[in-house]
Amino acid sequence: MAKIPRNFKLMEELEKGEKGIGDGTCSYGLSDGDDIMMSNWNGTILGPGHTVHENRIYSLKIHCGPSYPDMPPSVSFLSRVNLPCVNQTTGEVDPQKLTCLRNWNRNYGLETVLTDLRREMASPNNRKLPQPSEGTMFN
Amino acid sequence: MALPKRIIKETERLMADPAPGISATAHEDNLRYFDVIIAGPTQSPFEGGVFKLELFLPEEYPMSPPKVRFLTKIYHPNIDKLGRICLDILKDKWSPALQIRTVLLSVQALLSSPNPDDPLANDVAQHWKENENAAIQTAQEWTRKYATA
Amino acid sequence: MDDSDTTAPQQAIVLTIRPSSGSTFTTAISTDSTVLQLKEKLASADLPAAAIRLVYSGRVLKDDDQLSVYSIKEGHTIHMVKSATNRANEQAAQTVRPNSSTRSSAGPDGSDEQAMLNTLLDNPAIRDMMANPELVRRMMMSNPQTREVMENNPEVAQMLNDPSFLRQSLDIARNPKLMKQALRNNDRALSNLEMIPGGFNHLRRMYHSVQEPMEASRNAPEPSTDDLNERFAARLNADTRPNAGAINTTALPNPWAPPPRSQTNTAGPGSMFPGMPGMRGFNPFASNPFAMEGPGGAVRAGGSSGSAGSGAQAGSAPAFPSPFAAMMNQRMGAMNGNSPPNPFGLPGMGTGEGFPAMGISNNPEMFQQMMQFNQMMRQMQQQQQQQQQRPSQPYSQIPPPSAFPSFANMFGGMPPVTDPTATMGTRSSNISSSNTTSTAAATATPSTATAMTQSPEERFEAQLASLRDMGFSDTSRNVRALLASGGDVNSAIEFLLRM
Repeated sequence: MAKIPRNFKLMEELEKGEKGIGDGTCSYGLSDGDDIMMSNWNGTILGPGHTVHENRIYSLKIHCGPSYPDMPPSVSFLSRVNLPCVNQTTGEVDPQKLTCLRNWNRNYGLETVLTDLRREMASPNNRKLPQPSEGTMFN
Repeated sequence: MALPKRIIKETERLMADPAPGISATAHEDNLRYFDVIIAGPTQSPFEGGVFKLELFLPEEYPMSPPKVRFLTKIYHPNIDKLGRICLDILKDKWSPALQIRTVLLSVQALLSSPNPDDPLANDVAQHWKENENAAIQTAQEWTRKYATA
Repeated sequence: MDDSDTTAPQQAIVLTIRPSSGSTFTTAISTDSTVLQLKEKLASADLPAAAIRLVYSGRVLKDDDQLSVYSIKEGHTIHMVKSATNRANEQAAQTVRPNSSTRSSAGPDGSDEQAMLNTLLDNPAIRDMMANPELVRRMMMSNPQTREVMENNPEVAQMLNDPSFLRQSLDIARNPKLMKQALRNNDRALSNLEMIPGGFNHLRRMYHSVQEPMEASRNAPEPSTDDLNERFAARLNADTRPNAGAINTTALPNPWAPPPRSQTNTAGPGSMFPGMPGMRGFNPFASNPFAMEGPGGAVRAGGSSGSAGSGAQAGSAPAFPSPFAAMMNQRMGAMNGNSPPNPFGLPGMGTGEGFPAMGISNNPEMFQQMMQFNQMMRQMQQQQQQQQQRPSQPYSQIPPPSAFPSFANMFGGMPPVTDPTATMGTRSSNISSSNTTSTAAATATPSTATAMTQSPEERFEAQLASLRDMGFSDTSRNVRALLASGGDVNSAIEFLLRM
């Protein structure tokens, strides 16, 4: 298979994000529409139903470095959220604690990360975790 | 991972007999991925500029068009802020009979003759239509600012 | 650029709005409107503007911003989410999850099944389970019928033992858009196959060799008492109530996912937005001509056979839901839907590269089966082709562009017969010759003598020139390729690349 270079992969992901991915529970886009290197992204996750996260919208920032997608992006929550894989001071997602980041492969994308995080919110261990009030942000 | 013969031939020819004002070099670690440089055509607002592009031949090439994008900022009604190019042969008018060389020549021609009626960058196109001279001036400024090596 | 931004035209654009429950719809609005204005436009009695939150490209839109701030463009999608402030009321009133109740009440046709499935999928226990492929696998393993199937069919076992495959299947199942697309691909593939002369028989044969053993074991008495198992069994054997509007081409029901929703159905659950103008089902792929149709028959045929390649087992028996085959179809469908336009469906099929992460490419048996299917497809294609060619065409007419050569390419590795005359007269039985060649043979046979008096070099002068330009320098090979393709340059290129 042809190995798609970083920029063209990110471009594909961007276009997919603009058209709206999946069922709308996750969304992402460039944080700076002028950034020709497409490094910094915003993401949102709509909290899964029947969990403490239901009806909440979580905002995230995602950074795709120069070696993306050979290396996974770095991901941080902007909205406060209580999850084992999220650093409670900074909001950073610990790559060792999120399956798709730990076992990253270059066919994954931003959508994989966001849906994996959403799955994490819905997991039996996490769905009832007490959460900070909605709208509070990591600093 | 074998590279189709056609791509090898095209690459060889691009090296041996480059089109004037255009250079394309394949990445060593990905022979479907090219660094491209196009010199701004004379008599255009982009004259004197050196524009970097990147080109990728997807798995389906030549049945699908190459993907091409400007890396150098450029003020042009058919090229958007992320360097995406609005050019029919890169989309619905693609034919496998076209090749890397013809694509790059077409991009070069697009620099000489912007087409504000078929815009990708809406605001630039509007500027071009309302006040062509001013738009051309901006394009020249951008060329000096971003596209001089 | 800032100077340009200020002069930006204030034009109306059409946006797709995707509510968190219910169907998507479009709305036209000027880019200089504020987010609040858009919300007011979207508001209804049930949903005041204040309770609406809008998300675009990973950002929650702020009321005071103009839409142009977010550089939202024509055709882009905005997600609409009910504000959490309603949550308390909702929870007080709710016995069932709100969106499933909306759906079941509004669904005009067959969507009660959809609602039921949604309820099932929304059930926390099932959700958790679905989030855990390992658990699903163990559940399947604990079912003696499944185990039997797996023992008899190592390729199935391989699939079930690959957690990433299961996980991906579940992902797709959870995503209604992908599902819809996958199922539609499947439908299309099937109806294409059935339309080919002899296609139905091939499908039947495949059904007998693959589907039936699986069915046979699954239909054995179900001794399990486990509650979850029972529920799953219910899904597995769920009757396939055909949707209104859908005929016999309904794709297989999938136990993990919403059943195929017909297009009319997508506009159904509209109770949330009464009287909303232009409310239509929206399919993100519909706007992508390559994913659905593609220019000409090549893409269509290639694309559908891509999903049919793996869906063969499933394909033949719409009446029998097969979870495994259906899963595979979705995987394939999703690949077709998401990847850039791929005229050959799965060009890697010849080498197995077309199935990354499926854990199949390294399974010789599975792979072999696919190849067998390919071969059948090829035979069918050829038969069809001969049928098409029989009403003799004038020689000058170019055969249907590269549809068949592209097929030939897909099954590369077959020895191409380089002398087109060799197959003349024997084409009906000669299955191993390349498709392009038989096209040439078929066209050449009824050709008139007058056309033959011209040498190929003269006849194909223009085409030869463009081939030369493209770097194909061997004129005699080019002539052969053009003969084989009936003068079509694109097909000739394909032919040359395989020579």
